[in-house]
Amino acid sequence: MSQWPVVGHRWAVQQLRHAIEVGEVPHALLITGPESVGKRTLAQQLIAAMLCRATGEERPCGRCPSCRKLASGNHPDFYGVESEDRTTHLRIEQIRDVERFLTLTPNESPCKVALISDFERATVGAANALLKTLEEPPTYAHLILLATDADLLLPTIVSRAQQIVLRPLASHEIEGALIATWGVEAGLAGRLARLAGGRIGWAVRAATGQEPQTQMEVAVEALASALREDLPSRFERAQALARDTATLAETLEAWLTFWRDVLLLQTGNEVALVNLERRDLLGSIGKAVDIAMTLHILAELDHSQDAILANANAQLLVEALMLELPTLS
Amino acid sequence: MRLSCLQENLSKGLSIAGRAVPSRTTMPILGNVLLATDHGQLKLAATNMELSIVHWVGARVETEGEITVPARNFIDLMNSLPPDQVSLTLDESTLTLSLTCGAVKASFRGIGAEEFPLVPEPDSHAGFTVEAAALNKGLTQVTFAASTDESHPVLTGVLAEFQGQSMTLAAADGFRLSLREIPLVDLVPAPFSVIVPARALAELMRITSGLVDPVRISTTRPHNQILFQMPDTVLNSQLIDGAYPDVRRIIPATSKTRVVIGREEILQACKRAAIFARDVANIVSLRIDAGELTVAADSSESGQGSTRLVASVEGGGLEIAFNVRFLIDVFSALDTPQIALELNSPTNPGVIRAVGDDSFIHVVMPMHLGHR
Repeated sequence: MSQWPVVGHRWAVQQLRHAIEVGEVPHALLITGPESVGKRTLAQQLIAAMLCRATGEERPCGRCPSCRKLASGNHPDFYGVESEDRTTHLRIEQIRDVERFLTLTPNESPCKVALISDFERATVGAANALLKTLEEPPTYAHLILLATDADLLLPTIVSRAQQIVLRPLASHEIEGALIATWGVEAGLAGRLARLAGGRIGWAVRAATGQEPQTQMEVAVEALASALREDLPSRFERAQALARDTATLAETLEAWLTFWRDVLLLQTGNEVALVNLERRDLLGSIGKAVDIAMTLHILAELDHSQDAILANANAQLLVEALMLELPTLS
Repeated sequence: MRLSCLQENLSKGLSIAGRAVPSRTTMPILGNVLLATDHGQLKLAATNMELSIVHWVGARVETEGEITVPARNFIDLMNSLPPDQVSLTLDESTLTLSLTCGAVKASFRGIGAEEFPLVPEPDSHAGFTVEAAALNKGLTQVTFAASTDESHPVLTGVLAEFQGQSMTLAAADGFRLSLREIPLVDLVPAPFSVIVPARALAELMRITSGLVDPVRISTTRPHNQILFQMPDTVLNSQLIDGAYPDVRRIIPATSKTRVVIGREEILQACKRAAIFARDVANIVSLRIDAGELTVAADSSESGQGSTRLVASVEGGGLEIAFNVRFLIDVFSALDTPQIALELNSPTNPGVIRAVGDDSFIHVVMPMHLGHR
């Protein structure tokens, strides 16, 4: 039996494939999990399987007219909405469009499927607008919701949908998939898998050059240099970093992993290091500062991440961080 | 595919089928119009997933084939061509449709026809026949009352009940109800009802206007699409799934006051009153006294106006307020010389009938009179 091209999440795939086989896909499905963990890939496979018209073989077949239409975005019985970009909300009009789509009878398939991504970004009004449809969907209608965390949704939504929780993948799963499916060279695959933190989507984008994977290296490099600089140079650096607000979050994330590695070394745990190639630098920092200092910086970084989300002044924030950093001789 | 046809025919055909092309869509294929050879004719089809329109035009077909091309560009070009013979040739390997018409040459990059949503073929045996004029009249008098509020999808449709030898159309938006029975030529074997999106019926209304030939109505099994088959055109619409409210319950059984009045006179009076009603939520008052009816609107800001009309009044006098837009809608849609207004009290719904035409009934909710 062939497998769905979904990395990991084997139990979820099995459960959904079984549902397809017996023809009992729930009317409302809520797939939750961290960003880039594979929610959409899983949902797309499920939708293709539901609409596929192949008989007596594994669905989706990828060859029938239905599968081809879905692949080119032209399937009349599928409708997908998502927030327009990562900062906007899912609007009530978009939910109304979904409702309108589901109220009309299917065009050529026995069922109709709507996929709503980023549902945690739905406004309260939008979420409430969906309740009625979730409660009493037409017999042919299927709703698939994607969200990062069920806790961010209205409990009334969560209780009306069958939930599938996707967990971050183990790094060996990501490494294996990168090598087998995307033909990534083994060394790079191992490193990306460690950096990905269980998010296959991120690893794939980094491997195929869509994600500025080097951004993390640039960030770590900047941190390493800053540790050796005096205050005026650090402030100049802070100004440069703060100017590029788009990558600042990524930079902070990279710094957080870096200091986490320092802490791991200080506590004698070498196995789970992310920045393996910086082992020497990590070691020397680990010796130069004490654990309390490392914990303090981690707390500061954590706080800064929250502050960035709350629209803090980026330059002041990075400058404050620079003041906290120890100076290596 | 290789064929030729007349520019006028193609242009006219596209203006009919092109009505179904959505203005914005997430599915690229919907922005295209399907061109296919079909029994020595050229079949044009467009759909917005809610309704699809297929239209056939006469053509000289040399080789068979099918393709979809970007609708807007194709239609715009077609309308700009001189009235001459148009030749279309499809290069199957590149999916490019080349066109020549007199000195004009053009080519369109298409999308394969297999990507186009399936449009059901009408079954010539199934369905019921209705006179085009009767259907068009029914649509004119009912469709306008459907809701445009997407939060109640069911009310954005028109209920079509098939029973005995008639089709009853009903539309309601929470403030008014329009209901009309249309005779069918055939007998309906098993009664059923469907909810058709009002937007599709508005399109049908446009196509059937002035049409002489009868229209054949059928539904696909199990009632998930409705097809209206005309001589060169088939309009097909998805249906709205849901339970339509029991609208007959809101039709008042009796009335205390009945006013019979000239339709054109009261329509003009309402249009006049609407001028002053603009900034008072479109409220006009109808005051009924013995032998007369006064239509008045009063805006404290812009002024006031009233028209006194002679009417035949049975029952007691009364003052009631309505949204004048609703009155204008229904009076304009009717075609009888006289209408009847049946009222109970200022807070109960009013009934509007066409005098001499029992198959139509309209119910409209009153407005609060405010007070002076």
